[in-house]
Amino acid sequence: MRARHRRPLLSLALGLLLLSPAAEAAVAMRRCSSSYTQLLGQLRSLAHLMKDTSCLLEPYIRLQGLDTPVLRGFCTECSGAFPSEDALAALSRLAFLQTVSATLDGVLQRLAVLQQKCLKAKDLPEFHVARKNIQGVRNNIYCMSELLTNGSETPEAPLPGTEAPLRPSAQDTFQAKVEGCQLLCGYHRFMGSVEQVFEKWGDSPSRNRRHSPRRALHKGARRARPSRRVKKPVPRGQ
Amino acid sequence: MAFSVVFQTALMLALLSWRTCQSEVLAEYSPLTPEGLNISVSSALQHLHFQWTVHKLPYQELQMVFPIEISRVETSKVIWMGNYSTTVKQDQVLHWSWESELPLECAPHFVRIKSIVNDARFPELSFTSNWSSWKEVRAPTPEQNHWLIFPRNKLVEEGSNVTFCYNSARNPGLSCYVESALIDGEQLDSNLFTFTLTNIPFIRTQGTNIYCGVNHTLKDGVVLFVSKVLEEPKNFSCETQDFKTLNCTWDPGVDTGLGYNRQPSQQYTLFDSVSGKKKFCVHNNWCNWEISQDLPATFNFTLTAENYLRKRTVSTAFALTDRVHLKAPESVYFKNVSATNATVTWKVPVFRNYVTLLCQIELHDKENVRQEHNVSIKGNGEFLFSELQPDTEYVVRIRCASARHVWKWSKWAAATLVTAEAAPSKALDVWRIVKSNEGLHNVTLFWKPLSKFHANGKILFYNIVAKNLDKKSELKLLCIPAPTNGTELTLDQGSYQIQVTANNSVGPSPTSEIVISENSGNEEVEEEKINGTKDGFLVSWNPRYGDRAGHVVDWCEHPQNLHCDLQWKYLGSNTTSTVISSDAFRPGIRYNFGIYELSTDKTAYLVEKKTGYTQELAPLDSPQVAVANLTPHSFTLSWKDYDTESQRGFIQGYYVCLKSNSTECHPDSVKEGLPAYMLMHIILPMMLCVLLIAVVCYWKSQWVKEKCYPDIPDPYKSSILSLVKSKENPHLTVMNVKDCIPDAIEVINKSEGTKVQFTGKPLTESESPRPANLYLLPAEDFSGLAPCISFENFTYNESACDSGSCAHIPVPTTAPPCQLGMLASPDNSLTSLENTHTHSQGEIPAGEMNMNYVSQLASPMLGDKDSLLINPPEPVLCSEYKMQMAVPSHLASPVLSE
Repeated sequence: MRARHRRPLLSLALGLLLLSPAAEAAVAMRRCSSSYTQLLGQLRSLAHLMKDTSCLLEPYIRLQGLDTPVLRGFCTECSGAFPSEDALAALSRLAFLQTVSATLDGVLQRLAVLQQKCLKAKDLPEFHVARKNIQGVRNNIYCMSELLTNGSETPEAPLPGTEAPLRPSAQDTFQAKVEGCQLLCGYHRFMGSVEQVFEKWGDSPSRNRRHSPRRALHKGARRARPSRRVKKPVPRGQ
Repeated sequence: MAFSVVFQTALMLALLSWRTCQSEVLAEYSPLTPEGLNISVSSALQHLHFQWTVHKLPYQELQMVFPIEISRVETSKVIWMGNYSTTVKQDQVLHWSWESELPLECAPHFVRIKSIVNDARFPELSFTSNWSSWKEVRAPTPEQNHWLIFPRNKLVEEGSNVTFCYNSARNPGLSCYVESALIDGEQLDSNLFTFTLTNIPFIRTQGTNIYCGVNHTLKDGVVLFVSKVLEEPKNFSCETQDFKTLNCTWDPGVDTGLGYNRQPSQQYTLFDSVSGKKKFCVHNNWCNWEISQDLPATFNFTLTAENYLRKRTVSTAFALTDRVHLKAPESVYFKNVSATNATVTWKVPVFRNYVTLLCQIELHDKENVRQEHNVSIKGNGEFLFSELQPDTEYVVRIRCASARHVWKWSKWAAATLVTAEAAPSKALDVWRIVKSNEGLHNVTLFWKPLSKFHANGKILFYNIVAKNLDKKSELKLLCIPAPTNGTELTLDQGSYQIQVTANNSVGPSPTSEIVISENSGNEEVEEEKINGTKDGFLVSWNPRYGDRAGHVVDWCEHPQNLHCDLQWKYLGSNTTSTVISSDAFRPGIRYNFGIYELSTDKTAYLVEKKTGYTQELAPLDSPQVAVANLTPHSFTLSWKDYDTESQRGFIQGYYVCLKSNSTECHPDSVKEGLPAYMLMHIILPMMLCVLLIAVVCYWKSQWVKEKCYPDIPDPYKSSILSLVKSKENPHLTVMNVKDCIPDAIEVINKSEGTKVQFTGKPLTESESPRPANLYLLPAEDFSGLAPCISFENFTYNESACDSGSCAHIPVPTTAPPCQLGMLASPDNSLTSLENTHTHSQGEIPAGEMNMNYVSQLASPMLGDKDSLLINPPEPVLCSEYKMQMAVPSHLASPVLSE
């Protein structure tokens, strides 16, 4: 029954995606672009878009009534479950992509829980947009990974996944509120870091620098979760 | 005595024995103390639930009272004392609850209980037990080490009061806030603080944030969920469309749902007490109820709205037939459709055909509701419409309701009905123009198309039958296809009866008939001028013939067009006037009206003709003036009259203005020559006076000279010649008639519009006629001041002409350089002649096409007006100031020669 309802929803979502900032990423998932420059440009643009706190964090703060000095201060103590910029910058490009993809996968799950638990669908439409953007980034990361792999760049172990730390822990409503706030803060900051790393990428798919993955292991990494390749992302709406 | 002692002893023993027995009984039931006291905590409700038993009841049941004491923090701080009275049964587990204002997590509570037997049936059992030992109660706190504020996640209704507590033992300087407002807590214990929020408002579905921190560092917080008060459902009603399902609807009011799944939106339940059935409604404002066909069709519904905090109910009871809201009728068709009648049929989708229905039927045309009917039906409906208009499109609307009780009308069902055509119902309105030409009558027939109301269908053609009344056998037949509205017939000079009919697919209209008599088109009737207004023309006439059937007034609405758009108006036989008005009437256009009397045999006789303007306008152009017979003393002016149809007003006459050349007679300067005017009226008279004095002085000196030493007169020393010796021609000593050349002729048309200008309302430049200036140039060497003659024409002025004097001067105070006078008036001409050193001018009556001009030279005969035209003086000298005059041709004959 649910699956039957999902099919038109999927069509609708895909239709909306064509109009959304992640529309190009949706196309890339079905047929990846072979243009490194185009993919990198899209990833940079999406990361730039998603680091903006006015897209998600600020609406959330207003909706939850957290816009007071004490609570806002607590909110901006962003979740430490995200890899730091230094840690990301130290990774090889493939490992970086894998880490970003895994982290965003965890964010997607947390957002779904957060939305299901504390919000009605109409309360915060920005949640829907954010999830679509994350899926768009993951799709582009998949294509970029394919591009780099075909260029015989050797994959490295990604940073520890963020699934466990991002799991909802709070049973208390107030804690759930502020943890959601911190999660969104961390998410925006993480996307800012991702943008910074992408900015440092060269204009050519050929490898032009090499970072020691070991340096990253203890910078922001909580738990290693090896993965050779970035998982093929699930199409949106499923 | 001994007996009494024995009796008393026995009695004492008996009493002792009874007391002993009683003591034994009491001793046996003394442990009525509450036992097994168990206390549980409901943190969410802040309830303490007591549970205990009383063992060994001596009877099946006993009325007892249980005093209870509750302390907080320590046993000595009793915060509540009370009694719980109940009937205790054997082996019964007793329950009692106590609600704490303060969250139970804030501090430990201590409780104790005792029992009192208080049963009137067993007064002997009056007994009070001892207190039970104090029992400590602590609310469970899963994360007691971290949570500082209580209660957590509490749900209350808007307007409630809630007490919070917080513990600052581990956080000295702890401050607490509600949203962003700092709260002062009341110290309950060394580290325990409380505060109470009263009349709490609803802020958001995500709850109200209450939190504590130290130096703006958050330590703990809770969310207080405030629900809006559940409202009673409004406008609860049920109805059926098909007798199978009841559709109940209501207005749910505010949504009391809260975030974090703390409280879902209120749920609705429908309960029918008649059938005992209950249904949970999925939607928050409507619910369907299946009707059981085997149950009586009555219902008593209770709708319950419920959330976690409250229930609200509303009820309605009704019979099913009183809540019928039918679907719109279906299958609306027409049968037996004729030009005036049609039958409509329809069906109502009703499950039970035995229900009598009331149906409303409306018949609309394009504008209004033409017919309304109410009919009662069972099952299918049928209704006959009559008195319909042929070839007309109607819309029929039908709606129905239960005839037993009109709860609500169904929606309208509509269908379009087009009636059949019928023959036209009215004769055509026909008129004609007859022109006689070479023994024939050229008859142009016109008719007005029938209105849709009278046409009764599409007019296909018009039939015209012309019968020669003198030769009955002669017939002319014409068939004119629609939509032509006229035709031309050429008939001989005999009398003809012309019949016209309009025909549609069904048949012809009634015949319209007119008669052309032999004299038609030859009537000669004098045309009379009438004054129109912007509202039209008042046309009146005098009846001519006694035996008449009516009148017709006809006119052209666009007389300047090739097709003049003939209009006519039929009037009654006794009517002698009518107002003709039309949006097409324009100022400055002449409209001609013909008034006809209709005889009883339909012959029309022209009796009067009228012509007029709604508003007269000044002529646009001046007449084209030609000069003929030009001599040094006279000339003839001629011009063409205005075309009657192009006149913008009635041309009453023409003004001729003769001006001196010193006035710079420019076509545009006729009204602007004020300096020249000033020259003539101020400077020239002064010069004249000086000249007169000089002449007198000279004459006196001559008289002395003649008396004393007369001299031979020398013609070269004439005073006249002294005048001629001007600076322009100092060498000229003999007056040469060739020098007396008329200089310019100016013709100015003036209509009533021009008159308006003189009374203070100036004409615009475009409206003002341009004066026709005609310059008669002197000889080549003449470069001095040249006089000019100016003509002006004036539109018809009834008062002036009626009085027989058309010589009014329209500019009494601001006379132009040329004083204007009507040439038609001899008096005026003479008056002008009497004024030396001014220009004479006159007005030419309309119709006069030419005029002789005689130059009035300077002469000692000035003032002899009678001899002026008969014996004009011989010109002696050419004066700089020439008295001039314009006269109509009939007055000026013969033309004076040199």
